[in-house]
Amino acid sequence: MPCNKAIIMRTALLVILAVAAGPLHAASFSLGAQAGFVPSLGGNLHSSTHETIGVYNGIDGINKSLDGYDTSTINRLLGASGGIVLKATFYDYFLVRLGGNFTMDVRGGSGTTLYDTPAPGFTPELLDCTYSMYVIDAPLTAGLAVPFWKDVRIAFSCGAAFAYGNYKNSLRPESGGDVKGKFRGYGFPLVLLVEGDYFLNAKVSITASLAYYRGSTDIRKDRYRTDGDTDFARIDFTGYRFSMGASRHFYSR
Amino acid sequence: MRGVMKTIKKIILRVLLVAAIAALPGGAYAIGEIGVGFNLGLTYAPNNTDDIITRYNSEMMTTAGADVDQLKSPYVPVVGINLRYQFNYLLFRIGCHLATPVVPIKGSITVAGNKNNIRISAFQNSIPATIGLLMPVKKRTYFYIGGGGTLHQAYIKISQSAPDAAGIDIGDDNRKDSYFKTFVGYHLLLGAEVPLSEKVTMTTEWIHQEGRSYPINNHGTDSAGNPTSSPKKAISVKGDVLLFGISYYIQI
Amino acid sequence: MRNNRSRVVPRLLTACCAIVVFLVPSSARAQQYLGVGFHVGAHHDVGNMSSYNSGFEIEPQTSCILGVSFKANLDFLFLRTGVDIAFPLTGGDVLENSDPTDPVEKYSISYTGLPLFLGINFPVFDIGEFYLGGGIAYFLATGTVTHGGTEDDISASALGFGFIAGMQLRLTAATRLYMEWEYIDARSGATMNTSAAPATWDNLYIDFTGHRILLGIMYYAM
Repeated sequence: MPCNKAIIMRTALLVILAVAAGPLHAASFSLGAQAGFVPSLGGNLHSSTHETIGVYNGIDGINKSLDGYDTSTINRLLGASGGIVLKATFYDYFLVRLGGNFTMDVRGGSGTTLYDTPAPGFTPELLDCTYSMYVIDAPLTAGLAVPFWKDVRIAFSCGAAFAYGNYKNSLRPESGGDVKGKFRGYGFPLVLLVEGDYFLNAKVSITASLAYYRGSTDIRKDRYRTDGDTDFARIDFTGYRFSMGASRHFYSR
Repeated sequence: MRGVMKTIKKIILRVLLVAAIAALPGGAYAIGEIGVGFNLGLTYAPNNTDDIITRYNSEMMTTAGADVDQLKSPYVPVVGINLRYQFNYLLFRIGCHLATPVVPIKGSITVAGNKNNIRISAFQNSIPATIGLLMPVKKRTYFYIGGGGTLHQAYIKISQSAPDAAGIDIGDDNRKDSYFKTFVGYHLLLGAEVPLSEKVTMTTEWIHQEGRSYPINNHGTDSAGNPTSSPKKAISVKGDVLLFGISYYIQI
Repeated sequence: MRNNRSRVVPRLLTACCAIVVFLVPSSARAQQYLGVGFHVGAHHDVGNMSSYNSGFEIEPQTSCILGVSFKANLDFLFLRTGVDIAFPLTGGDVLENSDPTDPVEKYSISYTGLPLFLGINFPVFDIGEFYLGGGIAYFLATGTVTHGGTEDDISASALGFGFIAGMQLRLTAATRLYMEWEYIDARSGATMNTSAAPATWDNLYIDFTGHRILLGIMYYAM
């Protein structure tokens, strides 16, 4: 009987190799590098501590201004991203794409606003706010590539990414008592992607890609333990990402 | 102000007319064709259920002394059919796409031995009518971009087993919140099509949809099990979908 | 006077478009470097008021866009800029408000956008091209917001970031029909008080974030 089991295993292996051999034989591969940007990295970065000062939509709603107070707008984070892309195209039209990206905030996320202190009546006080975030993600998508002429290929694909995020915030009233939040976590956001390759020659192409991520971690608990405040937030990966780069193509046929 | 709006509307109508006429002159593949297609695709948290899930999870996690099993936002398959008419550079497409989570969205909160099970279900049926521009690359190979109106049928139901248990105050404190509405929205579409055979093609389409119902009455039950119509809520269908499809062409 | 103008402007614009499309002489050009286009478009849910306050159940504002665009092509790269003016087609209404501290009732926002995108052209023979780019946009807005029974004027500005995906189809050697999908993410700082308590600080911001679809005709001068 063990002999039969071994035969079944070997036959299965041969069948898998035979099935895989077709697509692999008819495949082309490429390895590329891309750089781009992510508007609204982390979304509105809302956390439960914001609600204690009457803000229910995170960084968007925290902005207040009043004559006599020197405030500055706290903008959503703009992320800059860089990464690598590995693509395999089977039978000209079928694409599998694996990426690896690092994204961090490069603009926004800091400024001075006002909040109404718990003291009776309207007692505004200046509040310095700082937000920062970075994301490491690996999107795996599959889809359809449309090659035309000799020098252009456009592909649509969808799938999911493994995304790890690290988000920090700090709310510092003028009177002191810095409240900080630090969150880490991972999620598997949906990824939709359209990408174009413009071939400079048979081996090298310039690429532009537009990706849409949607998803977040579950609600995470603040990792700062020394500020006397326990904050809760999710790390939101939702948003559009635009990138440009170059790819080197390897052909198996 | 009314005069200015009238002028703007006239300008828009006339530019659209000129654009439509401009798209008509014959090209290399100047034929009218009708295609019938079947679509399969992927989206995430239809009817913005991820917003509800985040709110409920946040309320559960900030409840003192709670043992929480958080709700998870679902990946959702989309199934649909479409009918398309292509004439020169113009594309007319009408579709019907249904999205509903296949895995139930479930979570719970337990406070001092009292357990409240929460369950969310949703479906979205979209009927987008698109007018777009079509770029013929070669025979039965196209790129297209377009936009149009969408008729949405959207449904959300949130059930809680013990919303009024001691120490628990999640959501709107009802046993069941149920909303259903048919309404009109908008969409943008980006797509490509490649041939499989003389009459069969494969398509891929990225659809961004926007739409929001008027606030609608709850068809729910309160914590005592009595019918309730509050709170009024709107359903938002804003989101993106990627669809793959197979189309069969009929020459006319 | 206004009636005359309202009749003349659309006719003039139609005539210009028709001239561009039908009368411009056809000549073969290997590369089209610099184009100027006129477009109309739409932007749904201007202001994103339900994102500003989750207690608002709204009827979103939809705006129409009239604009001029400039596109410079250099081999596979393009630079696209222009001016877009958005007029409200339907004003925004807050139909249900569960937040008594912020009694916004109606809003109507007009804005001018100045986008600048850089990206890659994907040409298709001599039929046209598909293009994809990312960039920035600067917005200037004016409008009115009705809150607590009073209507106040509002003005705001913001810088945003986003993308453009478009397609151009060749009509003649120098003219193209184009359709574009633009997304920009931009919000102003707090510019107006609408909150009932406290009734002194500015809390309302204008959210320009959204998707826009544009349809137009471009003439390549070079």
